[in-house]
Amino acid sequence: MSQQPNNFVTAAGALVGTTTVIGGGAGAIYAFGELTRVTTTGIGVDFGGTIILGVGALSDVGGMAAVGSTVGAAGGVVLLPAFGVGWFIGSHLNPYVQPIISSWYGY
Amino acid sequence: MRSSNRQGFNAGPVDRFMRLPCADLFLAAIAFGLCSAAILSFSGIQAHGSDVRFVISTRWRFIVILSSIFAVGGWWTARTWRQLWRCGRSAWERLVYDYGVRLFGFSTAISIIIIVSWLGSTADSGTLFGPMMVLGMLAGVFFGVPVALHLGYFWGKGFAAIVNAEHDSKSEIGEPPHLQ
Repeated sequence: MSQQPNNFVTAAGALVGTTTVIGGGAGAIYAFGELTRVTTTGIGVDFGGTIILGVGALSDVGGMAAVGSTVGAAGGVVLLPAFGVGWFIGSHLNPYVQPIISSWYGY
Repeated sequence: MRSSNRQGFNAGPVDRFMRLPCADLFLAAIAFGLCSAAILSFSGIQAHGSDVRFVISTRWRFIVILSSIFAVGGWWTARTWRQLWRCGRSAWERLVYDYGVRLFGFSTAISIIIIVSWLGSTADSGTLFGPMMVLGMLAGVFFGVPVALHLGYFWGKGFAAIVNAEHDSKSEIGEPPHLQ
């Protein structure tokens, strides 16, 4: 039982980390799929083949990934209370529910 | 115009099931049945017909109460899927539905199922497919998926507000279409 809070913190961190990474990935995919010109890390090639020197503006892949991961991280943080309530209910009901169910064996 | 369902996951078979006329009731029944089966399975009773019938006849209220919670989750999952699993027609809708719901939301849903299952397995002392892991998995499917799809919707709206994605009043008439 003493490990359970630590496990919850690990799971909560994994949740926020996952939404951050997925948000960044989705933002980068959006940049590739929707923008007419993409730059990466300040230098890139537009779709006409011209080499361009980017300035890290929001219109590039890195910028979109940053926006996506920021919004994703915020979403993960918003999810945490609901996640915590679910974990609290599950972990505190289980010690009561499990003996009831087990008592059916050999009724 | 770009192909509107090019981005994001399609999940064709799941989407076709969710769009059946009574999918919400079907999924509620499936959730109810799976939860009941899990409870009976973890009780340790023998699978003989008489044992199962006796336990069901004497403990049915307990089983129904717990399973009904998951049935509500199943109903909510189908309703949410049918409401949000769309393809966008404008820059704003593509960002919200294609990238938000069907890319970010669906990926988050898979992650939530995995994380909750893992958390359940730790409560079972690391046992694979123990009671809490299975119930965690069911909770991930029947509660995590709708939450994640809604989160994807709000991710898309937030992203669209930041990058100033434009609405298109000519194409945005009525609800966005379902995937073909």
